Amino acid sequence: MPHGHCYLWNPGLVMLHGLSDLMIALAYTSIPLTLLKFVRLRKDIPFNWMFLCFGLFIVACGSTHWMEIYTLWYPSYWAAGVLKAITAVASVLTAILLIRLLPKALQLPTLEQWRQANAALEARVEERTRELTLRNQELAHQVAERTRVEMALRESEALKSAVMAAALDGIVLMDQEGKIRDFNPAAELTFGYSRAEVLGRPLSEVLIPPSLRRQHEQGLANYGMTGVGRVLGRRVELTALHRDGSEFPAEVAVVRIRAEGGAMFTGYIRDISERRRAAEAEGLRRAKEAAEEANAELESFSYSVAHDLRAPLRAISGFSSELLADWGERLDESARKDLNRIVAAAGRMAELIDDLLLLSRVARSEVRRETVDLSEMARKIASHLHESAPERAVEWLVAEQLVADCDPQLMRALLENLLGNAWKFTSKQRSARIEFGQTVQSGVIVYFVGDNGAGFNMEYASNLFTPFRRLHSAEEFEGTGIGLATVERIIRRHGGKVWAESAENGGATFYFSLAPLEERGSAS
Amino acid sequence: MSQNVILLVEDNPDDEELTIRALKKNNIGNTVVVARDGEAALNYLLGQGPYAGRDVLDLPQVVLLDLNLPKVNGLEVLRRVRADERTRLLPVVVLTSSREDEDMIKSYSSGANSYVRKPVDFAQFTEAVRTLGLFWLLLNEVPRRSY
Repeated sequence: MPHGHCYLWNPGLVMLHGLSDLMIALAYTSIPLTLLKFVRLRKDIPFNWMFLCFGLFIVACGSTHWMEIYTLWYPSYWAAGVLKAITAVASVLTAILLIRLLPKALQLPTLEQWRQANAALEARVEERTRELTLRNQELAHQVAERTRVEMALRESEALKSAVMAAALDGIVLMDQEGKIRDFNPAAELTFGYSRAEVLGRPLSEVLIPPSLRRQHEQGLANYGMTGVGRVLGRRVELTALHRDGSEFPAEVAVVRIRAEGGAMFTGYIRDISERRRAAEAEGLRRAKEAAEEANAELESFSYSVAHDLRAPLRAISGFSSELLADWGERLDESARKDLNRIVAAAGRMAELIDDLLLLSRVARSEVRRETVDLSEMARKIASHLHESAPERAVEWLVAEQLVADCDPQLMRALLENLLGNAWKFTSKQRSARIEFGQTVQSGVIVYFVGDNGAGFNMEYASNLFTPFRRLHSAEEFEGTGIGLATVERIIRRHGGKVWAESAENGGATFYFSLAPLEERGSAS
Repeated sequence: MSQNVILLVEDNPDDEELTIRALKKNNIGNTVVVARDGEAALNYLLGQGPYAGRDVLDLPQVVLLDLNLPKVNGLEVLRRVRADERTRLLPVVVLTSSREDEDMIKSYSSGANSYVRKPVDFAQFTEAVRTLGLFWLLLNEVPRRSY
C-alpha cells in the first residue's frame, strides 16, 4: 500500500509531504555539490575530507527523501529501508568521525583569533616594512656614500693621472724594494725610456749611473733600517743616467708616501743640464769679462809703456846727440864713443819696446781672418828689405799664388819677422838665397821660409820661440829676441804650428801651418 | 803777426826742449808758444783765462799737439778746437810717442791734419820736424782769417 494511504490520499497532506520531500531532496542534492565545489576550490581548508563525508551523508539523506516521494505512490518499502540503512551507516560514520574530529576542530582558531592574529601579523608586517624601508634608506645612503667615495677616488685618481701626465718634472714612483712603480711622460722624456720598459725594474739599475748605484742602494737599505733618508724631503742635485748611457745633472726631490705593503717613494726629477750650461755660460761670460778687463788694463799698461818709456829714451838719445853735435869736437874719442853707445842703446831699447808692444798686441788682438795673398806680401817685404840695404845681392825665391786664410796684419808681422831673420842671418853669405814656399805634410798645408844663412844648432831649438832667448850674440847678429816669440804667438793665435830645421852654418828653414777655419774652435 | 806763432802743446820739458832745438836746427824762427796741458792750450786758442782778450782770430800757423796731456787730453783739445767756428780750420799736427793704430785713427777722425810719431833717435826727430816745418810753415796756405 502506497504511503499515500497513510495520508488517506488527502491531497493537501500528500502535497505537503511530497513537496517538502522534493524541496529537501533538491536542497540535499545541491548542498553536497556546493560543498564539493568549495572543497575543490579551497584545498587549504583543514579536514576537507570531513566535508566530503558531510556531502556523502547529505546525499544519502537526500536519497531517502527522493524515496519518500516515490513511496507516496509506490510502496517499495524495502528499497526505502535499505536506502535508509545506508543513510544511517553514512550518518553514524560521519557522526563518529565528527566526534573524533571535534578536539582538532576546536583547535582551529576562532574568527576573533583570526582577526587578532591577522592584526598582529599586519602589525608585524608593518613593522617589518618600516624596518625594511629604514634599511633600504640606509642602504641607499650607503650606496650614495660609496658612490661618492668612489667618485672622489676616481677624481683623485684622475687628478693624480692628470698631474702625472702634465707634470713638467719627471715623476718616478719607487717601492721600498727599489723597484719602479710608476713613470710619467716627463720622466719618459727625461730618461728616454717608455713607462712599460721600466715598470718593475730596479730604479738603481735603470736610472742611476753605475758609479752612484752603491750609494743609492746603501741609502735605501739605510732607510729600511733607520727610517732616515738622506734625500728625503730635500732638493738635491744628483747625476742621473739616460737610456743612451749619457749622464746628466738632475735636481731631485724625494717624498715618502706610506702605503699598504710598505713605504713608496715619489721622486721628482728635473734635468738641469740647461741650467748648468747657463750657469757655466754665465761663468764663462764672467771669466770673459774679467779677461776683457784684464786686457783693457794691459792695453792701458802697454799704452803707458809705449808712450812713457819712450819719452825718457828720446831725452837720453836726443841730448846725447846734442852733446855730440855741439861739443863733439871738444871731446876726446872715447867720450864720443860713449855718447854714441848711449844713443845706440837708447835706439835698441826703443826697438825692444816696440817689439814687446807688438808681442803683447799679438796676444791681445782679435784674429780677423781673410784671404791673404802671401806671395804678394812676401815680395813687398823683400823689396823693403832691399831698400834698407841696396848693396846686398840676395836671391829671392818666392812661390807664386800662395794664398792663406789668416789675419793680414798678424801675417805681415810674421812674414816680416821670418823674412827679416833670413835677411839678417844671410848677411854674411857671399851669395844669399831666401826662399818662401809651400809644401804639404800629413795632409796639411805647410808654408816655409828657408835661407842659406848662419843657421843654428838644433840642440838649442827648444829656446827658439822663447822671448829674449837668442841663439846668436848681439855682436854676431843684432836682435831683440822677441821676433820668433811673436811668430810663435801669431801661429798659435791661428791655431797652427811652427817649427824649424837647421844646422850650424847650413841655413835654416822655418815651417808653419795655419789651422783650417773649421778647426779653429778646437785649437789652442 | 802771430801768423808766425807755433803752438807747442807738450807736458814733457825734455820733449819741449828737444822740439825747440829741432826747430832751430831747421832754421825755423817762428815764435814758439808752449802750453803744458790741454787746458792751457784751449785757453790760448779760445782766448780764455790768462789769455782773455787775445784776438782769437789771430791763429797760430800750426799747433803741435801731444796726445797724453794733463787736465784735458790731446784728443779732447782737438775736438774742441774743431767744434769752435773760429778755430776749426787751424792746422793741427799730432806729435806723440804712440804708434797705436787706435790713437792714429782717433786723431784723424777728430780732425788732425797729420800724425807724426816722435822718433827716439834725435836725427830722425830733427828730420821729422824739418818735414813738418817745410809743409806746414812754408807750403801750406791757410785763409788769413778763417771763419
